[in-house]
Amino acid sequence: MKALSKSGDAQVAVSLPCRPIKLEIPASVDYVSVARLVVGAVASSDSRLSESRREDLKIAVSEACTNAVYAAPDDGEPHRVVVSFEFTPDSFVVDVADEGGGFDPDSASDSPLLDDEKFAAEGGFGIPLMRVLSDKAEFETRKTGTTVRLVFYRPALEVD
Amino acid sequence: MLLHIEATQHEGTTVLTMLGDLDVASAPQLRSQVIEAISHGPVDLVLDLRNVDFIDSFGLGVIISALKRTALVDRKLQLLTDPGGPVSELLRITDLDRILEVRPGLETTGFETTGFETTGFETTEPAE
Repeated sequence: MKALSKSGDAQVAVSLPCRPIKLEIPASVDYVSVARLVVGAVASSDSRLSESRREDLKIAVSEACTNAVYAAPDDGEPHRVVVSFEFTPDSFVVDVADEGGGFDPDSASDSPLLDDEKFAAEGGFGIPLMRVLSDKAEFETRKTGTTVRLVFYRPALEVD
Repeated sequence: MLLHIEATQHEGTTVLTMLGDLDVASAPQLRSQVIEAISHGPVDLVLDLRNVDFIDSFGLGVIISALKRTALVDRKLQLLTDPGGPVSELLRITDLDRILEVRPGLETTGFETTGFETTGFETTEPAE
């Protein structure tokens, strides 16, 4: 199936299901918007992902990329964030990999509003948002870095 | 997309009107504007987010900090959002709409605005 659709100010056309696409950005907050716009534009090729799900996808990818940027070692060397994404028959899957030292995803609160310490720090919403906005959020952490996998199910099209 | 912020003052209230994306890259801009607004003395703050196309957790964080900064000087924070828009949706998902004062427009504050299409806000008398 060939699809062409619009997302924001970007138009893309890919054949579905498509082969994995890999996007590499510098580990800087200035490039997070690039990642979410590219992934959002590719997702817009799929009529099985609604506009509201694509908005959820963009926020979740943005949060994953932001965490990846902040995970990069502060050693003066240039680091990167690798965003890989693909359509499977049932899902749109996004992997965001960083070069950090790993972390414990279970340490993130489900609701920062109920966590005085997180609320005081004005943060802690990133991982809960990824979990709420995606259909599945998985964290694989190693000494060489963490990969976040975000899965968005592609519901079957309703036939009138 | 960049974030543009326009600050306008009314009696006892500063309105910060935003256009663009309120995200990890641009949130520090809003933080600076909030601090600047409060640095001249206690004021109520209105954050007009109706033309914000995208917001992330850093944007939420700065809004929370604005709430705390205004509360510290015993003043109010009010958000203006587009019902059903990206900001309203994220506030709802995170339950922040339970602790923030969120309104769909400026009518109830006594101000009239058409947003960035005009050169600024026009002050009107509150409806009797």
